[in-house]
Order: sequence, then structure tokens, then C-alpha cells
Amino acid sequence: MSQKPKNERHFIDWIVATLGVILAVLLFFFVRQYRTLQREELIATHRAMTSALRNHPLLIANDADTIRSWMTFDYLNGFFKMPPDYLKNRLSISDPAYPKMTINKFAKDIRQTPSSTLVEVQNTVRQFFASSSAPEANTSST
Amino acid sequence: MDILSSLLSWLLLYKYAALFAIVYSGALLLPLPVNAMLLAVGAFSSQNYFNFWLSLAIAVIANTLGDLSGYAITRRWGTTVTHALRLNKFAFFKQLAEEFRTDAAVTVFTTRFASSLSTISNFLAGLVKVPIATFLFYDFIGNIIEPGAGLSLGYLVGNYWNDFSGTFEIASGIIAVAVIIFVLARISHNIAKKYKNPA
Repeated sequence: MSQKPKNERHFIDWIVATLGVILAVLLFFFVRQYRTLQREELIATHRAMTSALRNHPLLIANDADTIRSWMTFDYLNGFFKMPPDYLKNRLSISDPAYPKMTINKFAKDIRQTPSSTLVEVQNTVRQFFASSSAPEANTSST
Repeated sequence: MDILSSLLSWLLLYKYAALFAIVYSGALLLPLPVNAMLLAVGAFSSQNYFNFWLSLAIAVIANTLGDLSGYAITRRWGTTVTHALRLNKFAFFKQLAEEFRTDAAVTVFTTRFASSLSTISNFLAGLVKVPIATFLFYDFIGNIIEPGAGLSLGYLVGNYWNDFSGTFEIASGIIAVAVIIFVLARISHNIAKKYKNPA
């Protein structure tokens, strides 16, 4: 009878030991990931930019690279502080769901691949920054 | 399109309703990347697209309701299922259930940080009939901390949330495994104590 709890303990100890190995592997990957971020100077850049962004929320044309095909036009308009109909007019969007639609949905509507539509949207946003300097773009929308 | 991208699209389209549905489904049973999504919601809050405090309130309520649903399901039908699957014949299962019942507060609270283990913990809590007030209290406290951490981190990293999501996922995994080790080690310790001093 007294053997049972001992067996259960052994079973649990085996699970704990296996999980310990998994934990060590995860820690290894965590340190590696952190070092990659450090090497890419993302952490240092982020530290410096966080305060700058909080004080001067100016966006630059290069930020158009952060656009992804799952994003909605409503979100992009707000994020880049663009006039609500800028993208609609420039990309000739006729879908009544605009701006509550994703780039993926727009790509489907115009029968293009999401990646090519994404590039088109990114270029249009860059043109917005090019046509008016970033500070002007920000002040005009606020 | 991967699952996180689809979730993020729904999140941008339906905002708080999507946040509630995703967090609730994740807490109940579905293996969704809720942590990465909360990181994104935190970032969207820093861009004023979401309200941070409203998002936190919705995430906490949805998480708690999801956990409570899991708890209620097994509290109502769990015994029938374990009898049908003959799980009640396994000594390990019995021991686990007994330890869970006696150590409910610590187990419920700590497993909130163990991603998918929290779902198992909810089912087990209902099965061994942990008092609902105990479950709800420790579940709620844990649920404030867990999504709060994800949202705050997302808010801090802002536009760069995507670069940090991989690190955040690994960190969540480390915490989850550490919690599982903690819970199992506690169970093992309690069994050893009983083995030494049988009451």
C-alpha cells in the first residue's frame, strides 16, 4: 500500500525533471532572442525613441514599412494622421465598408495579391509624407 | 494568413467586442495567441486606437468569465465524464484531485500565469468542486495581473510591439513552465509529507 505514493512521487519527479529541461531550453532561447534584439540595437533604439515619441509624436515616411496587410484603413488613417479620404481617393476604393476594411479585403476586392496591394498602400502613405513634410502633416490633421 | 494576423484584423475591425470574444475563447478552451494579442492591444492603446483601461477591464472580465465557464462545465458534468473515461480509477488522478482541493487558492492563483495549464486548472477546480468564492477570488486577482502585464508591456514598446512579440512569447513560456514545475513540486512535496506522516 505504501508503495503507491512513492510511485506517484517518482512519476511527478520525472515530469518536473523533464519540465526543468524544457525550462532550460526556453531560457537559452530567451537569452538568444534578447541578444538578437540588442545586436540589432532595437532595445537601445526603443529606449531612446520612446521618450522622443512621447514628446514629439512625429511620424516619418519610413514608418510606412510597418504597415501590414491585416491592418484596416481606419487604423492607418489614425496612425499616420492622414485625412480620412486620402487613401480612399488615391487607391480608388469603392467598397462602402471603407475605412472599416483590411488591406487583405481590399486586395481581394481588386483581385490582387495581398503583398502587391500592401506595397501599393505603403507607397501611397510614403507619397503622403513626401507631398507634405511630416510636421505639416501632423499639424494639418490635428 | 496566420491566426494572429486574423485575430488582429478582427481586433481592428470590431475592437472591444473582438477583444472580449478572443480573450473569452482563449480562457475557455481555444489555444489562441492571447498574450501576443494583448501586447498588440497595449501598443494600439499607446497610439490612442484603444483605451488602455477599458481594454484591461474587458480583458479581465472576459478572462474571468471564460475561466468560470470552464469551471462550471466540469462542476456540472465533470464527474459523469471522469466516470465514463474511468479516470477516477487512476491513483495519480485521485491524488492530483485531492491535492488540488486542499491547495486550491495557491494552485488557482499560480496557474493563471501558466497559459494553457490555466484551462486545465479551471476544469480540475470544477471537477473537485473547489468553492466558487475561492475560485472566483484567486482567479480574478490572477487575471488582473496577467493581461495587465501584457497590455502594459505593449503600451511601453508601442510601435515596436511586433519586434518584441517573440521575446514576450518565450518569456510567457518560461513563466508557464516554471509555474507547472512549482505546482507539481508542491504536489510531490505534499504527497511526501503524507507518506512520512500518514494521518
